Amino acid sequence: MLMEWLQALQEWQVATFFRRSFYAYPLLNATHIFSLALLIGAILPADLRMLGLFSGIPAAPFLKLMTRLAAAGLVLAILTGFLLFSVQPLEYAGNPAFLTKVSLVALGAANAAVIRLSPGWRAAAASGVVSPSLRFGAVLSLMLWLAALIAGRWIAFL
Amino acid sequence: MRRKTVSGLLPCLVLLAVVFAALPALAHHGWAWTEDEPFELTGEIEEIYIGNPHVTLEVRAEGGTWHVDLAPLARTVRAGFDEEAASIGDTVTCIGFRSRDPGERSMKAARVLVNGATYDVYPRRVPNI
Repeated sequence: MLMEWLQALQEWQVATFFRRSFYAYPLLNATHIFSLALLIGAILPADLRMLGLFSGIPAAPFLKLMTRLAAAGLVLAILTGFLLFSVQPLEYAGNPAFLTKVSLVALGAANAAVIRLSPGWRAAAASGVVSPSLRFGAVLSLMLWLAALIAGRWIAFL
Repeated sequence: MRRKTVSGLLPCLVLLAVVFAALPALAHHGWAWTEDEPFELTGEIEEIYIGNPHVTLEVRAEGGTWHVDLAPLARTVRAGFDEEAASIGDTVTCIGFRSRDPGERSMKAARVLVNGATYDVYPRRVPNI
């Protein structure tokens, strides 16, 4: 079932196009890196702000802006990542670093969703006061996204 | 409060530094994972992949099937190795460098000889043999 789906994905016209292109594939790769820069470049300062750094900047508007940018980065990373995956789906599906990366991204996104839906987040967004549970979420977020970045880069080295 | 945060970040940064320091040793990118002595493999092509990010061959030889990395797609095609160059079942000779791991049947080719033609995908890496 999964194998058939991967096989079909490999034969998808868009995948075939990127597989054999000289310019589109490197550009797709660059767009994936851009989206990672956007995601990590925004989530990192947000997490650090929740942990008490840059305390001179008001937390509420800063966290709102940074999490929006990070969400945009995540969406773009998933789209470009899916296209990169489609070029050699059977290869990547058997790569332990890829499977680790995807799991870490899922955990990172789930953690972000839990933070966003928590009462602590609403309090921080309204008054700028960061609760201890929000701080725990921020530490988890930092570790998950950085681990996902490392696992992702590792795909090419296995 | 602030001191607590910084002390928590430090172990993370140390871990990152260790991980990045270990990367070159494991790299299948580049040539760090291959032996320095030249290596030659002759066998029958079982699989050809001509696409991004790298062109690869599976070559059946004595002792088993080898995984052969060529260059990235653009570079390999520029060297003349494209869909017309070889077919499954053709006899191929790959000259390059094998994995340092003796249990791993994997190599990176600088030169490929097939059907009477020579393709130098990494001309400056072709060993003088």
